[in-house]
Amino acid sequence: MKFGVLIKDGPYTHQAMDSAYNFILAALESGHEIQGVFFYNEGVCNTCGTMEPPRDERNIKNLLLGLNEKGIRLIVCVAAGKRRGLVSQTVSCAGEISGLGQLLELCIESDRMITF
Amino acid sequence: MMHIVKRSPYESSALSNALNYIVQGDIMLLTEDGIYAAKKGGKYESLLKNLIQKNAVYCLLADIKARGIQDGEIIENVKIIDYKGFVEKAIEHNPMTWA
Amino acid sequence: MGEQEKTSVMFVCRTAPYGTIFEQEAIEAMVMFGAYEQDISVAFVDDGVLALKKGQDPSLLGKKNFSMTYMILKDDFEISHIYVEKESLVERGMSESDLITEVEILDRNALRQKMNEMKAFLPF
Repeated sequence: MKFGVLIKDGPYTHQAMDSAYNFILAALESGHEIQGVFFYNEGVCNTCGTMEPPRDERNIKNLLLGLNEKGIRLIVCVAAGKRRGLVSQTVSCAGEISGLGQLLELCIESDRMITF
Repeated sequence: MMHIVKRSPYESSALSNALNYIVQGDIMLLTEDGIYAAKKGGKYESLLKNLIQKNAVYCLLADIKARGIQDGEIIENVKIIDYKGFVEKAIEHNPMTWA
Repeated sequence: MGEQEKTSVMFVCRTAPYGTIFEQEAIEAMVMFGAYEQDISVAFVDDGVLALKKGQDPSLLGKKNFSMTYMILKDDFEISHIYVEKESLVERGMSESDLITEVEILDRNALRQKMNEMKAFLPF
């Protein structure tokens, strides 16, 4: 089964990214595929490349790098990103900046879309 | 459909809105702050008990544990599942998130 | 997509305009999706119905009036359906005549039926 994931809430303030991360790991462990993760609304801020939380705290930037290393596409909406200061220089190297069409592509190509 | 409720029923209309759209064969998953709806003795206990008569209701283990809620404090017949269970349910039912 | 079957996607708009950005960014997505020749529906429920109210003027807030876009969503952006939940309108003291554009007003049960036809939901 191929899952598409949409993340709409920002990092740390909300639990969305953490829930999505755990869902993605469980899906992979169960042998499913993640077609892609699309970041929209405040969710784009999860892909900030300059975030530096305290060392003893989970680091969302590193979680995303880990997902990317597993070959998962992390797509940041260009318009929502620019609005919040996220451009190629500030987005994490795990993120790929692209348009909203990619969100629809995810809906088309995934068997299931799930929103966090 | 799987209706995912992730906001506390005490501060958000997510639960009541999801209840408006749950029909026979649908399930509900309480996650994040949404799990407080399933707490015994809370304001939403009778609502949840009515719902369970018709629809399966699940809540996510990681979220209840994090919030200091013990299994015994969860309304009877609300099923506790882990993330793998969540994935399973998302395969069986088309998910819609009520935030 | 040619002969291939279209994908049915439903925006479920549940938030009021201006207080948060959700309505505005939902519209931006609707407009973009129109170009892809899929089957896109937009459903307004709960506070989402407030986004369709006539006579909005956010100029004092220094914001753009996005509600105008709803008037051209079907013709210019090929959105298949705009649904509004009747109960949510009534609860908020509104009726069809308060809305900025022509929509399909459905009760909850009918709107829930439409949801059965969807492959994916995009909640805003």
